[in-house]
Amino acid sequence: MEGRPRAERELAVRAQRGDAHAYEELVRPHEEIAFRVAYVITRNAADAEDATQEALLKAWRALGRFRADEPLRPWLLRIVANEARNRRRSAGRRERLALRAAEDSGEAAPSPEETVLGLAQRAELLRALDELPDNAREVLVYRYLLDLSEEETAAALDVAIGTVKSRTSRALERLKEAYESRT
Amino acid sequence: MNLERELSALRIDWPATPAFSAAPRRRRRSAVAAAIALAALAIAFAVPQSRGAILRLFDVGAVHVRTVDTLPRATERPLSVGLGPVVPLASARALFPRLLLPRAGAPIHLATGKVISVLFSSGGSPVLLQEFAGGYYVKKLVAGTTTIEEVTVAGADTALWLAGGAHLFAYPPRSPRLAGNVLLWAAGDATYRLEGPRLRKEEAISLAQSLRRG
Repeated sequence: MEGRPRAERELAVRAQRGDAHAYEELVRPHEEIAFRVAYVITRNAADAEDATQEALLKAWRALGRFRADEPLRPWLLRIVANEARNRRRSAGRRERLALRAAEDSGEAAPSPEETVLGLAQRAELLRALDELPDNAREVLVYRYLLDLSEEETAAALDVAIGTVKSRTSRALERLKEAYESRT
Repeated sequence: MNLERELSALRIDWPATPAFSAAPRRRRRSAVAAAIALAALAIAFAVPQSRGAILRLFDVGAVHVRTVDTLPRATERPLSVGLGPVVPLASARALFPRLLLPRAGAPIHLATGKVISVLFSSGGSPVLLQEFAGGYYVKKLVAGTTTIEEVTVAGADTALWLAGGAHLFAYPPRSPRLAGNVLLWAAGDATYRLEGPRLRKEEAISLAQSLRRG
């Protein structure tokens, strides 16, 4: 893939030859995003941690099937999301995803020119997002809150890229309606 | 309003990302085996199965204690940092019905609506008492040099004493920090911890048992 760091490809090749250190170095940059993808599915941190840990070990065992010239992240996120869904099913719980706005850390705060919503309105937007059906919420969280690409989102949702596009469009409509009905 | 832009601008309070062990390695397995042996010496109950190099040893209420062979990077910060604003006793009581205090009038801090902290002095050294809301998820990572011991605290369902080596303490959204000797205990839905750089086990247990309902 164009623009893909050469280092990642080299690490992937070394990892496929059984170098565990190379594998750890390869996946470490993706662990945070993998954990968050799992958290959106499991809705609690303990299950998300277990799912991510298990998926990392499964990915290590399945590394022989990974094509080293492909980007790692979609491949890894597919495994993580699949493991998280399995855990959610087996846990039999239906906890609500309760995303909360971060405390103002001063970092990466949006500038007023970019956005129009105030703090209270953003909280309402998050609540509206929380209440969307799973399919709609997940695609929006992955695309916009976790900033995943369409390819990565498709992998995490285990759907085609075309489905990501159409699902995103419908989910935005639903969110707009849900938000406007709250305000 | 551009909904896509507004969504992209949202900053979410994600749970802290745990330390993962990506690949099983023989060297790590022996570290895990060493941790099991250490725990088996220190405590008298069975250790759950290992998952890779991370071993879930104990859950004490909301606190999940895990042994790892290498601690992730963390900073050493004074106990007084990041406790949140001081709140009135009535507000703390409303959120924490089993609130414990070292003495009447002690300043009560509240962070993220889910962690109560009271910093006080015992024998001239600072001690931090914390209580975590039920359902909250707090992570404590312990490297091999820390001893973990099951202890008895009057009124507690479970209690652990962690001392000796470096261990790491994290509750979202705060960044992890290195922690000193700690007594952890759970009673009903409530989970408490007492931490102090010079805290000894007997002193910690005695302090825990001397705490009064707030």
